[in-house]
Amino acid sequence: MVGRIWRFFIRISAFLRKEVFEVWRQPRLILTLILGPFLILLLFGIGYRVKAEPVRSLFVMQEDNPFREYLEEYTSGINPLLDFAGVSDSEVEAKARLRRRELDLVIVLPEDPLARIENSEQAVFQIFHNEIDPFQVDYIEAFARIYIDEVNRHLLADIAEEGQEQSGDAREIVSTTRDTAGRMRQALESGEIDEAMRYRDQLVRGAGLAATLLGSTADLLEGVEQRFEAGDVEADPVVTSLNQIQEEVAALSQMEADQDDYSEEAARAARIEEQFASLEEAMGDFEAIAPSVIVSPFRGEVQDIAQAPLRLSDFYVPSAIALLTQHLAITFAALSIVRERRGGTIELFRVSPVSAIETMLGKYLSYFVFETILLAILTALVLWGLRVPMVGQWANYALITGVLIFTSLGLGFVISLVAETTSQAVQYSMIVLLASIFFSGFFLSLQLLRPAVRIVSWLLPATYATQMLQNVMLRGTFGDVELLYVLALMGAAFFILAWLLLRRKMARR
Amino acid sequence: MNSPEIEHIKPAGRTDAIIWTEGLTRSFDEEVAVEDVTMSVPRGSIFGFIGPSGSGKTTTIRLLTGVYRPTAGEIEVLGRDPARFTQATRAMIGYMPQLFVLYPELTVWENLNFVSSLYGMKLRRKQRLHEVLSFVELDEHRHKLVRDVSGGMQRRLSLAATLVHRPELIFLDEPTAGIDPVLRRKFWDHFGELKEAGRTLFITTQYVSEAIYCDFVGVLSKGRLLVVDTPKALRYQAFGGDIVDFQAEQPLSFQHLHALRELSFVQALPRRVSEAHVRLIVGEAATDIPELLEWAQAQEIAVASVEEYMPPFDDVFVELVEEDNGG
Repeated sequence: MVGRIWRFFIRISAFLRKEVFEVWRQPRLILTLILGPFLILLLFGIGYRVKAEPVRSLFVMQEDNPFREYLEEYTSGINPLLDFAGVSDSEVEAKARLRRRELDLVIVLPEDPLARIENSEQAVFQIFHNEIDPFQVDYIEAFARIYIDEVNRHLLADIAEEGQEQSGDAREIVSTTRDTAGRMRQALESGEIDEAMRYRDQLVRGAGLAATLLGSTADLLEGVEQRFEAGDVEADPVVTSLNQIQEEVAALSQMEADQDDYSEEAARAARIEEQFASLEEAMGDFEAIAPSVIVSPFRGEVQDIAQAPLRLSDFYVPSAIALLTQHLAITFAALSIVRERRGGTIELFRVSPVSAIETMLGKYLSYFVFETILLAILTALVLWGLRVPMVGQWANYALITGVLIFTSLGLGFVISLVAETTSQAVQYSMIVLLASIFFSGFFLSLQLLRPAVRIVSWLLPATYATQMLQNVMLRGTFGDVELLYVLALMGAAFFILAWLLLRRKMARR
Repeated sequence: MNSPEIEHIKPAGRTDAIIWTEGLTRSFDEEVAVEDVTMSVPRGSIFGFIGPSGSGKTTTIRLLTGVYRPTAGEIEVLGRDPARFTQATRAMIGYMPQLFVLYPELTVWENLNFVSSLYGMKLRRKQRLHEVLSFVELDEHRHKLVRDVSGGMQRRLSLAATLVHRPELIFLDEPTAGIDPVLRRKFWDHFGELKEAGRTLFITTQYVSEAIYCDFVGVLSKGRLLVVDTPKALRYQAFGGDIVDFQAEQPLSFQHLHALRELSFVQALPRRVSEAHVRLIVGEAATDIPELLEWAQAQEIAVASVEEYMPPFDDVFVELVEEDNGG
């Protein structure tokens, strides 16, 4: 029994030594397998530019277009993205330059924008491009939206600034009216009723004018506060003051010239004076707000809570490791058995005491060891050579890559047993690689794929490994452990299938 | 026809034969590769399986080693149906495929070591590996990569790989195909040594002349086993008796030839080599040559030489095949 078990391990070890020696005898292959992927990643890291290329933009408008004088100012906000290529009054010529790829964008401004706006219509900027790359088209469209937002923002800021200037006039009225209220109070207190009646009339007119000038702005501010403040919202002080002034002024309107007592009216005039003082203060606050803040009250500040600052190339490293590991394992395994079959060695196995399970275990073990060594060297080069962060635990990294190698080898052996020739095996491996590039999340997020197509993604071992390695290496967490279970189950299924297929190939025919 | 010295083999019994088949047939779709082969191979013998390319030799070996399943008939190898070979039974078999199937990127030693492991040989096997490499005269080339050695060396490595685990039954599929005559001879010397050591060898070959080295020869044509016998008996069977070359000092007349044909022990007179030289077929050369000399003396014919002629096995093979074809 011991002898049988011992011989079992001897037979398995036969493949371990054989495969390692065979590969070891091809130093150029080893160098290509290790240095090739590393150099590709290095080149990608150095060569990929995150910064978007400025869009060469030509504006088309007539000489008398009102936008002409503001154009430079309106494009200043997006200057790094926009390469101002000048202004032309010929749309035809501009489009001809676009076709010759001398320009990226031609922006045709509306002929009479103000007339349209006054007519309650949006003035349309027509934006032309000549791109065929869908990603570049998306970028151009996003750029156009940003540009139009920028124009709208500038326009609104100008209007807001103008509004603030007008607010200065209103403040003067408020100040004058407050003085009038003060004089009326003094006249009442000193018994100069005729004088007080005259001031009262001036006060009623001044209060009406202030309400007209400030009412809409006050309603707007109140609306904003009600939208963004939680719970019971206090009334806006401007609105409150205006309302109270209106009430007090209405009461003063009832004042008669022959009353016995004017103390109540004097008190009202004093309250009106106070209300106007606080109104004046509120208006001072409003005028102090920058016009750009009024039109764009909010801005976003993005902060990364990841444990390490990431470059774009860092993001691609886990998926590149997953993809390369899968590809190497599949290619080695796919060529392995088909080569034995084509070379006739399998016939030797069939006559010898070696069984299908021993052959399969021996092959798995040898390529597992070989792949692990390759991956360890590649990981060391990537981590220390490219300075890619490794936030998570090495044990998790080893576990994920180990299961990935096991599953990928299984897929490779199944290919090897299904393929009739080595060229077929290579073709199948290349199809898996191609599918992995597009569907494993290597450079396209899985979220961008339709759910039905994502089935293909989840049939590929690299998809699982990419998700898990990104979490472990860049976030420092394991993420969804179920992904590892599914990957391991896939590996077990491939192992059983490959073993059954090999058993069939080695059985009597 | 009387042939007391020709030892025709009797089929070995199912129990005392190391290989035994009856009605062995294998078809691939509509094509019959091996048809109704019945034979038995005694232990400790060299069994030559001779036939032209495509006659079914390799298919027969694959049937005997358990690679193929027979369409009809029965097989017993080492007392077992190949379908029920255990690992222990397989370890008693050595198999050298027709083509070189080992690994060119490995050295001679590494290839041999790999095959040793396949047979589960213990790890302290260095001495055995040297031994078997010395046997095929490859020990000094053991560190060479197989891709760098000659075709002959590769064949010798294949042979070493077949023998390394000391198999009891050795199947060699055209081991001498494509190698030079000197090496072929060496191979047959090795096979002889193995037989002396008690091994049984089942060897297929296209070289009919190699039949002479075998204890028993099976002649295969178009998948059918035409005959199984000793080389001498085959020769006898092919020509219907022994062949004797009779050479006179002077040309033989028509009357002399007619008289020769009339002799009771002369079976046939197939060929007149020259005017004074004829080739006769007799029942048994050893007893009939003295009678022939007496006849010549009586006829006053001066005899230059009378001797038994041993035709090459190619001729024997052609005769047997033509006979089977009704030629």
